[in-house]
Amino acid sequence: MKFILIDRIKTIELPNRITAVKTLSLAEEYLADHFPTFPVMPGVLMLEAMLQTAGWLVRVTQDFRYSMIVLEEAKNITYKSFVAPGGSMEVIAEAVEIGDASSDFKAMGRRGDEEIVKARLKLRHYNLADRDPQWADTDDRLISDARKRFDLLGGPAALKTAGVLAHVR
Amino acid sequence: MRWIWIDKFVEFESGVRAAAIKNVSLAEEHLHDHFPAYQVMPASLIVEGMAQTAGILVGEARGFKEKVILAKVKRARLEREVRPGEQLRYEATIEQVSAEAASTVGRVFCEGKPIGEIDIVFSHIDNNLSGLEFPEENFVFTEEFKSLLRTYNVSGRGT
Repeated sequence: MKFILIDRIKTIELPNRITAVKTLSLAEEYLADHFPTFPVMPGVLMLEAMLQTAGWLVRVTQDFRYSMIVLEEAKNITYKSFVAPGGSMEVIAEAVEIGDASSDFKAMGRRGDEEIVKARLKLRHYNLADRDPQWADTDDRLISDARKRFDLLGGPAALKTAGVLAHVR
Repeated sequence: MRWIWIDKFVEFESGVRAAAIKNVSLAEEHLHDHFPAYQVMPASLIVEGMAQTAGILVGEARGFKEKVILAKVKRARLEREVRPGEQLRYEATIEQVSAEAASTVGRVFCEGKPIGEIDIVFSHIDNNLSGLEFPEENFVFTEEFKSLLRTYNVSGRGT
């Protein structure tokens, strides 16, 4: 399966806020197991959606400097509701701090005013070549792939909107 | 992709603790899409592996009568990436179990070395509603699921 847990980046408000949306479809195969008579989005894929959303803000902020942006630590991931097929979840990630090698986020998923999930996330960022220079070409490929995927998710348009908003303010 | 994130239990002490293993393989399709040129097991799915290990431990402790669902991940910390060809081991211990909820503490090992901790709170939703709608039957531990348990060498108290 594809492991892309957001469908669209909606807004990017530099320096610290990004929103995205994940729609859920019964065509997603894992829903057959989770659960057979009650298909709902697995809680850990809500975590993945929040991680991926936060990761895009890190990449944009750092102009895609690092190939690997991964979970270091999640705290207090609290689940309040389900997402069923045909439904969607808005994902919001607010950066508390984006440092060079790590970042700290407050993230949540919601449906209108209803909170579905929230969490505190710490990410780490690095290049494979930092540990072994032989991997530099893999870093290049990963960063190139990330830029293409950012385009696919509507990232450039979300950034453009942010530019307009900043201008209006 | 299926939603089965442990391969088998290797230790199971009813109501107390359990250990399960998961082999990470290049044959798993999602690995080729997470970081396409550098395959790693997504951290979120490692959290799910622990949730399944700990969730079955908690479910078995009350005869699989409760609908055990994830309510909170208190903390999940992972210090390195897990790559194809490596084996994960999840060790979960019940901290507390009541009519409404259960909590577990867990450690994650990769190739025998500790790589992180994942502590979870589960809700027994029949006794711990928050106005959400869900089916009457036990949709978590279905018949199909229980038959899978046999391959895990877990019989299940009262089943």
